[in-house]
Amino acid sequence: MTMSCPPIPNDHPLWKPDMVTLQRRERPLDPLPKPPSPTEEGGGPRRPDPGSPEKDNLLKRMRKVDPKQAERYRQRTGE
Amino acid sequence: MLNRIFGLETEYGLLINSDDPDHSPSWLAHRVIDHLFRTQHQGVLDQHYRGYDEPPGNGGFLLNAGRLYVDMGHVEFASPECNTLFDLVASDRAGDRLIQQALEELGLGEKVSFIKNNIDHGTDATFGSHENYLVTRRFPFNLKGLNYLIPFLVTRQIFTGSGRIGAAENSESWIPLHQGDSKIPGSHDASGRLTIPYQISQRADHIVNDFFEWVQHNRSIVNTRDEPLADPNQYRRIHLLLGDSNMAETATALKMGTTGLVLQLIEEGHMPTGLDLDDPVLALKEISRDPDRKWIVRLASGARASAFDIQEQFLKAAQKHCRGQDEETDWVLEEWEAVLTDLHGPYDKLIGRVDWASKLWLLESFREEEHLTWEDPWLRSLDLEYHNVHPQRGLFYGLEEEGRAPRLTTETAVELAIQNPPRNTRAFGRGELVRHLIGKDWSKDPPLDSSKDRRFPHYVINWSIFQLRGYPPFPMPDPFKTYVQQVRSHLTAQQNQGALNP
Repeated sequence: MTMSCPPIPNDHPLWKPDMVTLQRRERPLDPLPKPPSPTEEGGGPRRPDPGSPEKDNLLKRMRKVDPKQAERYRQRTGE
Repeated sequence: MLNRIFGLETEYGLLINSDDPDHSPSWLAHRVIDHLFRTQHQGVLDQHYRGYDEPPGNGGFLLNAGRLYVDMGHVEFASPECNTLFDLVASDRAGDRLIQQALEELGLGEKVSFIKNNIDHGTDATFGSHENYLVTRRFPFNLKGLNYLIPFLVTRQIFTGSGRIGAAENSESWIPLHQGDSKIPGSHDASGRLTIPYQISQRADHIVNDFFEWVQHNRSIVNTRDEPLADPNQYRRIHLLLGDSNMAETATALKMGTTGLVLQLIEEGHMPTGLDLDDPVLALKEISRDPDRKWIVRLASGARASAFDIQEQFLKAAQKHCRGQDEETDWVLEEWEAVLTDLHGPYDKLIGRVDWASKLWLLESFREEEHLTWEDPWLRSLDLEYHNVHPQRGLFYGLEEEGRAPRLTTETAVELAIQNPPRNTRAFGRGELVRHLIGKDWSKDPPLDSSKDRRFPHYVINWSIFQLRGYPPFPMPDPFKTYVQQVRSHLTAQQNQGALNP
């Protein structure tokens, strides 16, 4: 991966003469420690089998949910 | 990803699983913040006023260089600056884990839940998931340039939406757009309340403008606030607040990755044209509420097009101009195409990758099993539980546990991201600063000059600058630079001077 900024073509429909071209410059000196890949951890990314997903455990999880909990969920509006 | 810094801000809802009147969401939010900063030393609390509603102690920067604070009664986590989607998704999950851990440590794990959603079904309150994309200052941040972004943003909800039961009235808009307009899908019950069984987006109902600069009222598709949090001569920050909070890692990465690529198309002049929408705000709601999921909208030209058509135009342009530029770009292009292809088929093909589809499948399964109608309150409770960040309780995590949701990160990566910033952005330098300040002995701070302001705190940290008492400000205007060596030198000089002033 390169970090050089791609040039804006002169015929760019949105080009403005006062735009400043910019060169991005820094790449990591020491990258984030590489975690084991998902495969190494066992299993790894798998696409779900859409045909017959096992529902039993999920239904069990859903039945544990208090049917009235949404009535207690009273939030302020944020941003 | 090429030339991009990403950030996500998430406001969490707080569900109290009891009727204890002493425990309001705001009170608990502050308790969590106090615990993480004062007891667990996960970061340093602000010592200065950041705003009228952000007094000292309201929140602060974390070891991972992100921010955790209380905003309008909500715990909010702002990720550190990330240059890769992998880091961003890991950071996003790290925020979830951090606050959940706090609940467990406080003995509140069973009593209180953090809900990573954007709506309250009962009051129509909304709270956000905000996306940040750093672009160059030359980005055409004007009506013409941003108009190219609108059709993409309006239609991307078909794979970024988190889904919800019901609908919200637009009670907050200053100008009541489309009030009583029969064009918007949905009907009203006997009490006059809008009824929609299920729609694909949580925020669509709350977006009432195409462009606006505020974030608490009259929310818009594109927020026009000019606050780069970086050198304003070089950068802009595209700040979006129309998106839903995502649980699926694929959805988070696709939301940010596809939007990043479309911004690049606009920057480079390769955006598809002729896709202007006749009424973007209306189209946002029409798509979200379409029960048949045909997702047809009207273009400014008068023609009709589907959300698929519009997305495919953007995808083709990105494939032509961006493919091969880096590994993550190619991943985004492949997944974008796969998701659009799968959206043409039964929605259950998207389980685990697209939140609205995952949630709908769960709710439909439960509804069928328990013979419930869409109006049953239990379904609204399950809608919330989909977003519970408790790994053993949240319904999305149930899908993940069953192997139905692909992971992009690993548990190890998420654990690392709780206390470690990305090492290829400005976050690295800020993380060094936070780590230093956590262990600092303030008794060795330089004595105050009585002729100067005695109220200057020990430190002031902002996204693009910090200052330690007695030292000049340390600007960090370029988010692509780590500043780590300079920060270390600055801190070492301070330590040495402290040693000279015992």
